Amino acid sequence: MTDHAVELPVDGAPRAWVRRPHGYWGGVSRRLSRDPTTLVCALILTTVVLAALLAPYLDLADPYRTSVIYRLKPPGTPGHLLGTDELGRDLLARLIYGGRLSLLMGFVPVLIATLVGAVLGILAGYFGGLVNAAIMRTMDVFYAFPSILLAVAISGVLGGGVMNGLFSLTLIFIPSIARVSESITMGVRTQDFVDAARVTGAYPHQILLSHILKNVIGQILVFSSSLISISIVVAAGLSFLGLGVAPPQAEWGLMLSTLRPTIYVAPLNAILPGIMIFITSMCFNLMSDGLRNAMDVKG
Amino acid sequence: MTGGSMLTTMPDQATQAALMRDPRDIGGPRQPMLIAENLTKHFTFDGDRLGARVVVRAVDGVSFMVCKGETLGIVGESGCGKSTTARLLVGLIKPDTGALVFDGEEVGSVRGISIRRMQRSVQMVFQDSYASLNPRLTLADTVAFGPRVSGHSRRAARARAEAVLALVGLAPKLYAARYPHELSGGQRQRVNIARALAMEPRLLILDEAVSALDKSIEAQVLNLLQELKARLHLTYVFISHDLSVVRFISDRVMVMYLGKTVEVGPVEDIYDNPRHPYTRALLSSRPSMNPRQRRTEPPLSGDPPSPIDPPSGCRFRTRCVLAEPVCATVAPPLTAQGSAHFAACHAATPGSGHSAAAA
Amino acid sequence: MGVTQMMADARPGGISGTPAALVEVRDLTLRLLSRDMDVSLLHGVSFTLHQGEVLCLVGESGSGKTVTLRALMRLLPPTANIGGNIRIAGIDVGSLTPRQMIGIRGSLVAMIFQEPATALDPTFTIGQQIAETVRVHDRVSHSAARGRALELLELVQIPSARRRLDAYPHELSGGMRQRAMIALALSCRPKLLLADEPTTALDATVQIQVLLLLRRLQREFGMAIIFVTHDVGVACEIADQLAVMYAGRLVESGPVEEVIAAPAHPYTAGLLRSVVHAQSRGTRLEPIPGAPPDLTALPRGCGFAPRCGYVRPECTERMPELLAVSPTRSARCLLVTSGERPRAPPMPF
Repeated sequence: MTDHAVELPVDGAPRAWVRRPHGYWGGVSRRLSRDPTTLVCALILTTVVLAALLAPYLDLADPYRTSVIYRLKPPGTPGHLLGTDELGRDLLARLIYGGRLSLLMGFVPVLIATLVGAVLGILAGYFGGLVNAAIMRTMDVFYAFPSILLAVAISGVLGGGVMNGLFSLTLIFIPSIARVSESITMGVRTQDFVDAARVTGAYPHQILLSHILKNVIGQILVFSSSLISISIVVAAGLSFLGLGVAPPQAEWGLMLSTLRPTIYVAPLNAILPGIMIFITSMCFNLMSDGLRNAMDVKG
Repeated sequence: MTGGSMLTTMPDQATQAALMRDPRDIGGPRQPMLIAENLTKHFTFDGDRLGARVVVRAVDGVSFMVCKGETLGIVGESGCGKSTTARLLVGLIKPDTGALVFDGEEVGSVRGISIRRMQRSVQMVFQDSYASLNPRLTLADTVAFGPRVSGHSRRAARARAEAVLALVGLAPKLYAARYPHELSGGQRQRVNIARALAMEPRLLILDEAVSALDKSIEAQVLNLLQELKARLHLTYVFISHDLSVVRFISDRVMVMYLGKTVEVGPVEDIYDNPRHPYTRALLSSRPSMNPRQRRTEPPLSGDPPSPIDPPSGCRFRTRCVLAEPVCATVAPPLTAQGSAHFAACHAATPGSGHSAAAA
Repeated sequence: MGVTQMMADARPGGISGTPAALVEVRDLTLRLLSRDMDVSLLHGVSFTLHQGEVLCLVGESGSGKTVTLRALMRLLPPTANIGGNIRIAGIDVGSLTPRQMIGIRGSLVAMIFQEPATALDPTFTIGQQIAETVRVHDRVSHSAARGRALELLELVQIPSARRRLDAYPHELSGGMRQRAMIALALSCRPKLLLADEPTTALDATVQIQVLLLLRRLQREFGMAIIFVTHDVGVACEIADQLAVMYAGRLVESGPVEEVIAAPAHPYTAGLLRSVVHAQSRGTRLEPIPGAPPDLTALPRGCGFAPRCGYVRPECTERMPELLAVSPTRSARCLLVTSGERPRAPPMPF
């Protein structure tokens, strides 16, 4: 059998065969690492996330210690780098501790919603027919409600608190992720290599796991990552309305709400939580854009 | 029925010997590898207006057989149904009516074998396109997928994949870990072939397998296909719109038009003595390779009609120079034109009522 | 100076009136430069075309035939760097402003594409599209433009032309769409028609109709055509002059009968030999070994040398010049200097 490779003329070695073969994701990370916007955003986000994670170990003031004397001190006051809030608590500490909750409420709902929504959408997209109708029409029911109102409604019914907030946020993202997953899957499903896999007599779960999943997960992740920023903002909104995190916990949205009455007195302090929300969600957004661009190339 | 009266040629000595040794052979050398009986597949879509439905009669009562060890070529233009036929043959689509008999056993019926069983022995080589190979899988993974789902262990499947890559001329050391985007068109097509061969099929359906390739690469792949057929004792169904390629590779040829078979027979009969006006027109539509002998008139005018609302009676009559009233009322049956040569044309059918036919 | 003025003065040979070529391309080079890549697609392509002639550019993928065509109309992406000189009817195309370029597109040079579905606007009827082109260039009334559109549809043999004027592209079959695109291209009587594989996507019976139509129209209008194809048979049907391209260079050119009968370049001979034809049955085909080269890593010397059966040591040192085989033919191969010819299949097939 060994003489076959010699007999039959091979039309040339593969292109760029001197380089090690790299997969698709290798190419994606390479392109990501060359994009300045993505790098800057990654840097900023890493700083924010690290600060949030390491908060207990940093030399911060007690975020819960109130002080009547040092209320609404401006940034730059000795001992309080970013000033204090309306109850005299150190803003820097509260922003960093608040970041923990805000990031949690940004990330976790999107993560869970992706797991649930992607599965639903991929199944709907692959099988079509009745399965598709059952899943997608159910999604449509939820989709019909504006997401923020839905979150407010669910939280209102269940009551406030972090867990209920996470639950309602997760619920509002599932339909859109399912929809996007369904349409991406339908696009992949019509390609010849899926037919080729079907001809081998493979069962649907084998085709889904080996062939479909790898081709859809990237695009679904791009979409999901763009939802993180929305989730942070909506979580902040829920807290702002009193439906999410309850005082005296630190959370950016809640801080915005409690500092709002002081905006004419200490404007700089009042907008600081808003700036954090803005920076974090912008960075997530830009990184998701960068990811999409990096994934856009054929191979 | 044409199935029974059509030829059942004995395969050549070498193929017969190979069949004797093949433990999977059930029917013996005379049993056709595949019999397609009256295959019909219509697709329905929603029409423009409310409640309107559009029916595309892609394949409409097509019957043929493929003998062991031969290559049956299927030619036709767009809308003739050859791609749908290909997908019917490998079980990707279920026919609305009609049956498939593989090595004597009916496919999909309780008495016979299941589609999945048949797929162990019938595989398809797709046209090369960026979508014919999974862009996220290495070549080895793509080729090993079939053996894996057939029950082989990971290691055995991988070994099989590497063996078959070597068989098609792609050295496993160089190519197994590559991705499709790193290959040229000809190399991708070899992987397509390898993927099909990894399942150890007996019958290979090649759907426009060389159509997307440059001419010099096409010749390489055709040589490869001939080699593999002889070495592995395969049977081919070769579907293409390229008449010259079909002539080169086929033993028998079937011509399709708008979902129906219009002519079938041994390759030289079809090409040297076509009996159906469409076959004649198709053959004379090929550009001549001689600049001094250029065509002056096109053999056919107009475009192939769509299979949505095919003409009554003979579907070719709207473009046929020999069309007469009988052609609109009666659909011509496939009638014998020679020992194994059949054509569906009133003008070639004695007693049909056509003025050019024998009485 | 306005484009109309240039056009009025533009005759082959320019104002002085000496007979010269309609199209003169000298040393056309093309490089694609972007953040991700730097690849040269054309390395000094030169040819001339006279009025009323049909030139076929034949080659496989990567040969550069399509980008040559697009360079003539300056239809290339912004990452493209074009070098060299292109003169059409005496006008230096490279020196035109984008506005002037728009002026000559359609009226001096027109192009038809492989996929009419992408070249025709799906939101307008074909009658509207043709009429609009006529009005842009000729400033006539709506009804006169519509009348011209009808004439053109009949000219390209679209049946029931009057009814088809109001048809949208998706309502037409592939062959009809292709004819509609030809009608659109001819609407302003261009002197030069560029055809980018217009029949490749068509069925055989339709392809021959469109080829014959193009030939007829070309004779009637006295147009010059540059026809890009990968199919040598198509070139035989339609070409007067044949130019074979490989890896971004012209490797052989000459009158089509002579080149087909006795190719001077081994690639042309190999291409002709790989064509599948009646006599091949039962034999092994003789393909050209190897594959078209990677344009980012071209070998030194002749681009075809790695696959050539006639290769000599000198071939890998320098790229051969285009040498004259006869007064009308040239080939880029050292075989020419030694007077040899590569083995070609016998004619006719």
